[in-house]
Amino acid sequence: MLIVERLSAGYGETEVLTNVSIRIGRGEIVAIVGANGAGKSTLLRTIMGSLRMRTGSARFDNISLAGRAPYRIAGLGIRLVPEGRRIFPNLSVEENLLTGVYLGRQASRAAALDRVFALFPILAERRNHQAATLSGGQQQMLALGRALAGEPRLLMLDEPSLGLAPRVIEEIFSTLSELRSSEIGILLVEQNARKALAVADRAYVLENGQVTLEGPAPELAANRAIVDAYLGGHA
Amino acid sequence: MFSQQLVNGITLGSTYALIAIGYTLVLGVLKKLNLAHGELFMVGTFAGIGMAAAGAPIVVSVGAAFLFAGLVAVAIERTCFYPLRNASFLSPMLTTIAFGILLQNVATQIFGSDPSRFPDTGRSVELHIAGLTISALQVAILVTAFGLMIAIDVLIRHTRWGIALRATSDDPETAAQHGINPSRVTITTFFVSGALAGVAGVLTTLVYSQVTPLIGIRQGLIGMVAMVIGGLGNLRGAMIGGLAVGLLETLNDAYFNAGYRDLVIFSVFFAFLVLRPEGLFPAPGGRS
Repeated sequence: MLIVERLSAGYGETEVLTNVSIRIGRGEIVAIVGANGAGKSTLLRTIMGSLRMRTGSARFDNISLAGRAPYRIAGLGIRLVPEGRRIFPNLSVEENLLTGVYLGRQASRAAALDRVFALFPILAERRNHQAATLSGGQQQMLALGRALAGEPRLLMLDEPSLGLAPRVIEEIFSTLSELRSSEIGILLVEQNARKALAVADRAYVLENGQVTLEGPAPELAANRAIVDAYLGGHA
Repeated sequence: MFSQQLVNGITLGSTYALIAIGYTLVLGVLKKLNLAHGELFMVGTFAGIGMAAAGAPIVVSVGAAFLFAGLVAVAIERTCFYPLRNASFLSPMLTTIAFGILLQNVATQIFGSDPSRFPDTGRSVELHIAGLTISALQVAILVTAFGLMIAIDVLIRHTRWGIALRATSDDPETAAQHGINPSRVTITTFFVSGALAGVAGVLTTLVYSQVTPLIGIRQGLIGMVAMVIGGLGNLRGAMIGGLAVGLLETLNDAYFNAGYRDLVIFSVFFAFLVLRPEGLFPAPGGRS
């Protein structure tokens, strides 16, 4: 459903991504792994429209994303859980979730809140708290909940495990596994390669802005040399 | 009498609060100041006077000020801010100064540089309550100004627009990634900001009788003083800041010396900027 072909993008004079081609099908979890600075976040921001693509194309259900503003790309059913979570600190937990269904109707807004609260009960407990007062793990759940509230067909996550306790990481990843059955595509960017490959169906290795390897996730995970060479051998 | 001065000060301050709210809303969304904001007060005033001169009742003048100043504010956003959104943050602010001077000159061409006034605002009925003398006009001003303040507070806190505006203030990129149209938020914010300043213009002029096309310069600065005293980026702070400046001005005139009015107000402004730049009520979560 998402097809990115020969995409290049960057900041100012610097080209960060060169000729990147990836695809994600319905109900598929695809991981993008690679070292810090390989261009993983840049790729997600470019798909989302926050960064202009220079050459190449990105099509979502056959609709071109090129030149489309982020809020319109969101309207197509794509959501990004950004690196560092970026919850709205001055909004309450509930208001943060409501920004995720900004496009929806009143009834669907209430239903969306219920769905997220069922997934993360802690957010229901804290619904009227200011988001800035949440712990790091709760903020990640909020960022994920905010994206899911919009009922995306493609969910993109940028380093969801960064800076979180192992127990919280487990919870986030088990949520992603549960989502597998719901027909939505998931594009997962992670430095924690083992974790990502364990949950993904397929994976791409991004190195210096280029895809250097791709294949079924179990295959990449089983390849000791690949894990050590490209992925830093996370234990 | 002191309590009489308090009532007068709150009336004046409520109009300052309406000006300060506009600065705060725009600052929240764009992190930039609209330096033509005072001119929206002027534009609203003259729209209202124009209506009244054509024989319309005061309510229509207030409505015209709301609409016209709001639309001029949107024009400021579209011409000074939107095209320069990727330029240095100084460029749009300097451009608004130029736009403001244009507005002053257009108003001077139409209304002349002599003071203008509302025709026959007359001596309105005076009410005597608990030893205070309050004109019916003053009551109408207080009701309108506080009504608008409460309305904007409720809108910001409890509506989808309010959530979109606050989310955009917190993090525009992430807000857009969740489907919030940043242009729509910015345009509506400017409209509201201008509309409130325009209404403040009519209300103020009804009481303090006459204005020239240069009135926006002082009123714009006073609104800025109110915003800084209340706390940058804090909506309720701006309201309280406006009331505080109105009280300060009225009490100064009554008990000290009206000739020192702006010396006193701007000394307080200066002191706040140097000693307590975060204002009386710093924005929660460090938003500013």
